[in-house]
Amino acid sequence: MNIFSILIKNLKVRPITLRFPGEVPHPKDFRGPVKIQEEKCIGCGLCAYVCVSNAIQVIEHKDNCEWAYSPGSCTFCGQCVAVCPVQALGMEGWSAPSYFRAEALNRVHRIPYPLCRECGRPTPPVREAILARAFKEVTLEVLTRSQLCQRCRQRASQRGLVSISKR
Amino acid sequence: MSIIQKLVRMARRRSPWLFHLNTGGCNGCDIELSACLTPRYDVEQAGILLVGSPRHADILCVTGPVTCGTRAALETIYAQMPEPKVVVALGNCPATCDVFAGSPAIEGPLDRILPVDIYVPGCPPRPHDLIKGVAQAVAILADQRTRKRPIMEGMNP
Amino acid sequence: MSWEKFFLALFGFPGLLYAVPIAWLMLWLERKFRARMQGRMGPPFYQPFFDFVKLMAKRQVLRPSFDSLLMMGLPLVAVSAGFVALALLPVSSDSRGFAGDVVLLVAFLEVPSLWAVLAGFASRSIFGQVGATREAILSITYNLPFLTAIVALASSAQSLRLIDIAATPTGGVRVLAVLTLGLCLPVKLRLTPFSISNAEQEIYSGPATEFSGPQLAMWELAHGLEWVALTGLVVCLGFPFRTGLWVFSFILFAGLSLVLVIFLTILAAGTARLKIPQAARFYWRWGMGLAVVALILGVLPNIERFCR
Repeated sequence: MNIFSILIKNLKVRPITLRFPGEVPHPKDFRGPVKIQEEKCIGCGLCAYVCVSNAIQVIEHKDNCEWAYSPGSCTFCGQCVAVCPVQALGMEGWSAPSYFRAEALNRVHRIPYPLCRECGRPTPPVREAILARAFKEVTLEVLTRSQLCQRCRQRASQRGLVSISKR
Repeated sequence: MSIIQKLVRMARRRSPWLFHLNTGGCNGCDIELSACLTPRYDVEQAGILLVGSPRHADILCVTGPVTCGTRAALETIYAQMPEPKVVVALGNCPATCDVFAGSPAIEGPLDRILPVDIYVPGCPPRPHDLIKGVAQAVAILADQRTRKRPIMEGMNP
Repeated sequence: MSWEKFFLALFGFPGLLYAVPIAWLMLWLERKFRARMQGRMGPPFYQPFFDFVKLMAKRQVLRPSFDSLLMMGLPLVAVSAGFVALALLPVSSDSRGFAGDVVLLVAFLEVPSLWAVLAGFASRSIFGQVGATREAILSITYNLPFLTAIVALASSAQSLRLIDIAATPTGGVRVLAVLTLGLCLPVKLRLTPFSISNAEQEIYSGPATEFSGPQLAMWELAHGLEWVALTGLVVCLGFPFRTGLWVFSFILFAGLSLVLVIFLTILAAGTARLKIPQAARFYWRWGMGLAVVALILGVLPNIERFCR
């Protein structure tokens, strides 16, 4: 007779139902759609490499890099956030709303390439977060080298090597 | 007959019957849909009933990417539902095939096969977002005139 | 029997005007009470009415494999039989009714279930056929104690008129027979633990699987009328009230029917579905046990009188 005592008890207590149309708060650390901080992104493409469902695509152009994200394909696993070397990615604290036509939620961010100091060609950005991981100490020389494009950096290194060998 | 039309519209808003179909997904969205029937969310307070036969239903909730094996069943079930009806794509799988995209066993996103009215994103969507999506579908259902939609070719109704 | 009284009963109380709102009220009460016992909110009170209107407004899908005359005719006949059964109920003590009307009442009470079996077979789908088979087997199961109890009541009243049956003094026969009738209610109304024929997770809602729109609305209405008629029968035979005023008997009748609905709902919410052999064993053991004792008690005075 246990079930009947439960049923009678339920009749005395108010129902625990959420009334329409209530709001249910999202829990802390809720894994919602992925958001990017464009000023931190270096265009490495690790997030696209590690994405399970190809929801993130990093497409490199001549003078900018596209970070395309479709929440409709996302599994909200958080691998991209975990693997980003500069912590440019985060997850929203709320879920995406329902939509009426396909691809309505897709987002594209463009990260513009800064220009090289010497030759003026656009080059993928090297942010300070990456420098802090790569070098023990970020000296002035490291900083100035990081603002050059790849070819100019190689030439600067060769000049440095030649000057050492001449000594 | 404006009063009759208003009454019918009110009836369609207050009494939407759901048919749930899993076309090969992981069951995550199905469990979230079952959670909507529990005392905490209780969709029956809005009149929503989960019915056992597509002929009794107004709303078709599809979960899962449409696999090759379930495509025929999906089309038959859609043809069996009487008008007016709406289709809700629950979760990311029927919308974009999510992690299964590109698989040879998948017939593709749901909108390649059926006309979809509402997409509820999430993997899986929270029960409350699911209820909000179904409520939008009910609003679409109430506003529809009973128009003729073509029955699928070659399907026995 | 006067025709105008019969038509008043058919269209007024307890016919169309009374039965349809009370059927919706009973259907709502069952759902709401079950929800409250499970800790949920439950549907609002206008829910069965809007279900009915919505179903009537659905457009049909053309069905070449299902005879449209059968498809529309079966639920309509079931609903009409429900109304006529209701009109025959001996609610108040006027001289309505005719000799033998308990037989007619039992026949019309059986029509919705029998027509559900026909509908399941006529719809040519496996789910319908399985549901129809289950409903047919259950019909054999509960009809044995049901009819034995009716025979016991009729023999103790020595008449086949419902008015005379309802007017017999309370005794062992009446108590046992009404208990048996009450015991048969859950399976006639397809409530757990005997909701075998419309088991939703098993056979996709049973005999009515292939019906949609207005026909389904008529099936739901027939089911509601079954609720009203069967609870009304148990209340009429079990609680004889002879108030002078029409209003009081109406209120007592409706109120006691709703109390019976609440008891049935408590049973339905607290039990799980049984299998057909278990249901049959229950009814042929306990149901028939009660009914046979009632029959013996009812027939004994007649034998004595016959032997004298």
